[in-house]
Amino acid sequence: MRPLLSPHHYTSQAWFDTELKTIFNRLWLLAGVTPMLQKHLDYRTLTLAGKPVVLQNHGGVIRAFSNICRHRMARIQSEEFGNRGLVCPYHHWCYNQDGQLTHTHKDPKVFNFAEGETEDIRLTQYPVKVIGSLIFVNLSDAPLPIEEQFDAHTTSLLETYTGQMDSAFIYTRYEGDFNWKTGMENIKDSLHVPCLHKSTFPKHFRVDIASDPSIHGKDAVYDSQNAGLQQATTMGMIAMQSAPELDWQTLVAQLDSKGRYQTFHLFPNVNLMVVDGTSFAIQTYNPLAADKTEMHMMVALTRPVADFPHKPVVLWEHLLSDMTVLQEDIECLEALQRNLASSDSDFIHGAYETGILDFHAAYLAQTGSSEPDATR
Amino acid sequence: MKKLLIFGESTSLARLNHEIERSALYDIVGIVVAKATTATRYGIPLYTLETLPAFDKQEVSAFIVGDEQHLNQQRLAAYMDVKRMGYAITSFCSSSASIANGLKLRENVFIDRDARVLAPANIGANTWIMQGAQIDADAKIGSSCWIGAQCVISAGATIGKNCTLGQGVVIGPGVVLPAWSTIHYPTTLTESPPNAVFLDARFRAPVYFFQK
Repeated sequence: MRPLLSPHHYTSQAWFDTELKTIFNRLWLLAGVTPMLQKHLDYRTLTLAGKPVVLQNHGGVIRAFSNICRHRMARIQSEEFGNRGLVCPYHHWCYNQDGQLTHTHKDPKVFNFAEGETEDIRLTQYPVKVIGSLIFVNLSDAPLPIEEQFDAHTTSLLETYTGQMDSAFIYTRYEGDFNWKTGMENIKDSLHVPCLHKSTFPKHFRVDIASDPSIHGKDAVYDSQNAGLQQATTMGMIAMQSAPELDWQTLVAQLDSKGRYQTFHLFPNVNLMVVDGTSFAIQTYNPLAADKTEMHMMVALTRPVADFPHKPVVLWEHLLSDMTVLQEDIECLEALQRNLASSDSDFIHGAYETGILDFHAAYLAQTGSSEPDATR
Repeated sequence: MKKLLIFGESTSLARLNHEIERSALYDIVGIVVAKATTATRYGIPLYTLETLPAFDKQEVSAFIVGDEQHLNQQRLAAYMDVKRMGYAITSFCSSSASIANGLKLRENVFIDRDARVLAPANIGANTWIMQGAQIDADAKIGSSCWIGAQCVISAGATIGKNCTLGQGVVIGPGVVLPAWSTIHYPTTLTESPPNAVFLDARFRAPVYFFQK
């Protein structure tokens, strides 16, 4: 099959700048989940499209702001997670729930602002949409309606499923030297599982990858039917291998996806898995540079229905299992990235990779480039 | 010599048997395992729960062998099972460990060889303090913890329940380590983390566990 993307899409600074502008500064991005921000003044910081962002809970409402103080551009919230108001540690400038500057110094003469001069000083605020437990942020001045990005069916399922997410979770980040797109392509590539992960995946996951219909029965010639934004988000479902229920699964709510390994690949950069109707694993491929990606990884269970004191064991071992498999992916993708930088040939795709080509088509459509080699 | 029945067969069994033999405090009357493939181990009769004789529970106390796997929860589950069977569960301190006079050790606490525990200290049930670890004055360690070899729990530090510290971890003075924290490589903590920490060489960034 003729490839739609070439190695330079993964290595060139110009393409990276283009995708930051046309995708990550324009589309809704997953920035967290509500259990991260349960209490008044809980916050989470992260970098989205190169911009420092803070998600902040004020009285139960989650808002997103630039994490840059308007005074000297210092960082307002310093930790990745915490609980404090929007007070810059550098000179104690304070901002309220709307991001408006409310206090500079107890002695007004220190700054000597004229009356009304500080009224327009406020942090840049970004729109937030919450679907179930998922918090999306849009960095655009004129954000597109989120309904244009995710169709009603997807939104409804996300709302129903992640609305059942427990408040306890385990989370980590992982910085890898590879392009974010190869991370997303990797999760759309079912065939690599029985190859690259042949010795680890069966040990840790009870999923019958061979039953994934995406491996078989595709046309040998790629014909992109629809590269629309809504179609760029895809869902998949694989049967779990029959095995006795794990002891903790009787202690949590069971979703109607029990017995299935349900995946949501949320365009542009999220892999959300609902495993056996009882747990969630969310991976976000956050681009830092053309050859650098920060993965955000999180595991949570559905809400408990009975006393469940050993929940941390289940979450920790789930994350360790994910990490064991991901470590193999990361080593492969980092080597792949090094090869892309020196390659003068193109990819060769096969029939089973139409999901990856759909992703490429959507990517090109969003970057405004219908011609794959337009900027080569 | 008091009679002791051991439950479990983890990698810690050889170490525990060695220390009990050296102490000459107990006569081990049996080891209870999931599946007995031989009649004896270390010359001690092996039993399963099905073949376990009806020992006099006034005469025989129990000790549960385990490791830190599953964040100490397998050891805890076995401990609870044996407790429900009605056995008195003892603690065990190696004869080469140095523990403060009068320190009361709770059920199923194990103090390995060359460990030192200063007074006053408070160690929760089912917590294991491994070889050469040091517990300083006023330290508090919750139940079902694993304090790895050569760890230092400094004066006034508090370790929450179900924590696992690998070899060589140093917890600084007054530091409070939240329950379930797990540290798998040698490091020094000088500040109290706000939430449980999971430090493992497989991860390139901190692992956060939230339970509110």
